[in-house]
Amino acid sequence: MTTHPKRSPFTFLPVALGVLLILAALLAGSALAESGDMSGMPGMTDEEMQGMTGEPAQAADGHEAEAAADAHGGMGGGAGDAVNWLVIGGFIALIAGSTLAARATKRHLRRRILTGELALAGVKDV
Amino acid sequence: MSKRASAVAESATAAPPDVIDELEAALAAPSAQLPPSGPEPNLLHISSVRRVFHSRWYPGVFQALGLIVFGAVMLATLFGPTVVEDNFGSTIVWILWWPLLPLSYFLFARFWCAVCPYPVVGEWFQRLTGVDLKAPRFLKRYGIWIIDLTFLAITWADHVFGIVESPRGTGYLLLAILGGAIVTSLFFERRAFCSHLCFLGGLSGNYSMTSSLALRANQDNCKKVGCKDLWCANGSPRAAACPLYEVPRTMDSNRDCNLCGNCVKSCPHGSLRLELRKPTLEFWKVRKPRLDVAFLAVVLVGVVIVQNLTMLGIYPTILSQVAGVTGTSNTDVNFTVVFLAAMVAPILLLAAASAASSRLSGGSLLRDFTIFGYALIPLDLAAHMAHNLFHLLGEGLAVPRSFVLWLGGAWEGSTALLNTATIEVLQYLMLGAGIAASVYAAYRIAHSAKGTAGWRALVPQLLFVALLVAANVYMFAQPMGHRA
Repeated sequence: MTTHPKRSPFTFLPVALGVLLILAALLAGSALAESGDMSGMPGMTDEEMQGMTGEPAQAADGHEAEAAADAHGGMGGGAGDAVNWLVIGGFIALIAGSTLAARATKRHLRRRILTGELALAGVKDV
Repeated sequence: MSKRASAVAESATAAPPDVIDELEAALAAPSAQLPPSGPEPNLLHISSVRRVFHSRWYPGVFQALGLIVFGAVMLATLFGPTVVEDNFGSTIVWILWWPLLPLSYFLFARFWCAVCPYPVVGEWFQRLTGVDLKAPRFLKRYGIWIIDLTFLAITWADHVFGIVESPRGTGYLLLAILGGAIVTSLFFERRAFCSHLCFLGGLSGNYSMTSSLALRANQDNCKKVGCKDLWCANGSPRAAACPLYEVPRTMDSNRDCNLCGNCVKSCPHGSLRLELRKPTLEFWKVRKPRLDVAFLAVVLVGVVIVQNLTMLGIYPTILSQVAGVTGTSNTDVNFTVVFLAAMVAPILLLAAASAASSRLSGGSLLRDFTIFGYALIPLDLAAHMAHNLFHLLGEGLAVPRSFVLWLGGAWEGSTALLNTATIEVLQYLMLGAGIAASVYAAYRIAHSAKGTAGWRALVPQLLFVALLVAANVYMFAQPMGHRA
């Protein structure tokens, strides 16, 4: 039996999590861009672009930018709304899932501590 | 002992009751224990400052404020108006908070990280059911590289998907940070997310090194009293362990200190000092310069260039020129080319300057890249602040305007706090200060690392800084677009 602690199965968890979160944010952004919820050139409003270049502003996809019609409403339905709820639902699911996983991990580690399996790794409590 | 202190003690160090009683007695009169101030003034000698740091309400009060504001910001960005200028969540984040953030790092080091609401929520989950595993070694070693990549990914995504221009995009970014903080806290002890994964943590680590404010231990006093308990690092009945895994006794950088005050509360010998020092002093005093820190500094040069460039009137012209090379009119593809060029160019230029420095003065390219990379941090900070000054002062009234609109009122007129000419002067002054600080830091680094050969090492670095200055001055002279 080796006296060295094994590599924690959680070693790559933060990286996987980070990649997952960034991918989720990018996909959500992309979905929103396609649904027309985001508009305009990066860093500029349509008016500013027109004021500076004298040309109509182009949206990221090359089409003329659509000004958001519901300036104050914002809650107006459509694909953007669905994406919004999907992201928020995904976030809640992620947190709930992680909390359950953390509880299960804690129970599992405590059981291993009680049976003395982790004594050589120097783990006394979690 | 109070209930809270008992809980902290349980989670911190398991010490025998007599040791805890002794510590409690010593902590009861911290003012009597303070050693003399030393060469740099110790702000903890000011009774009001000391009281704040010893108070059980610090930094909790600031954290509560942060939670309220950012709770409202997240609700507004996720459910409020979809137009940036009408959404107070977006205006608070991009016109007030983001521009003030670099300034706060300069004035108060990483204090923002102590009051940031995201890890606070993470700590709630940690207390609820945290596994409290130690942060993996690879994360400690390579965390900042992950931060570098995350920072680049977010900057790129911002321009391709328009995060800043969309309240929803801003909301998703904030949700991603919150999610990262909560999940990391659930599995790992202390603030592993802030320390190793948060892209803002990386930024704040670099920028806080320029600050005049620094929390350090009086090592002579630690030795004199023969301290072996390291309450400052491991926690005590008074406060939890250092959330960023620092050992104040050996700490020589602001990078991993968020001024939470836990060590000040825990140390029974009054060995902690809140120093007021020369700004940027740390760059030539740091014992072990790190390549990852230097790399982040160079990456930030590129990030600021991209942020400026994409808001300039000449940006569409640049895009069309790039389109001529790539053969496509797809804005995302052409922006990606501009983005990669802006990121790679400073890295290559610093590498070239460092190759010349090492050739002229002896030493290795990698070592010179690392030590002189630190000298870029003041210029990064100044360029970042100068860029954001335009948003803060040029459209600062967009924040109250969006709030008034949200309450159902009306707001007519400009959102500018100052006129463009005044802002430009302030931007140049800020840039000038950054240049002076970077040049001085490079000079001190060269002399401290190379001795008499320092001058020869310095010349290529100064040429590189001059190039960056020219690029920045050119960009700040161009008309710029607003965020809201």
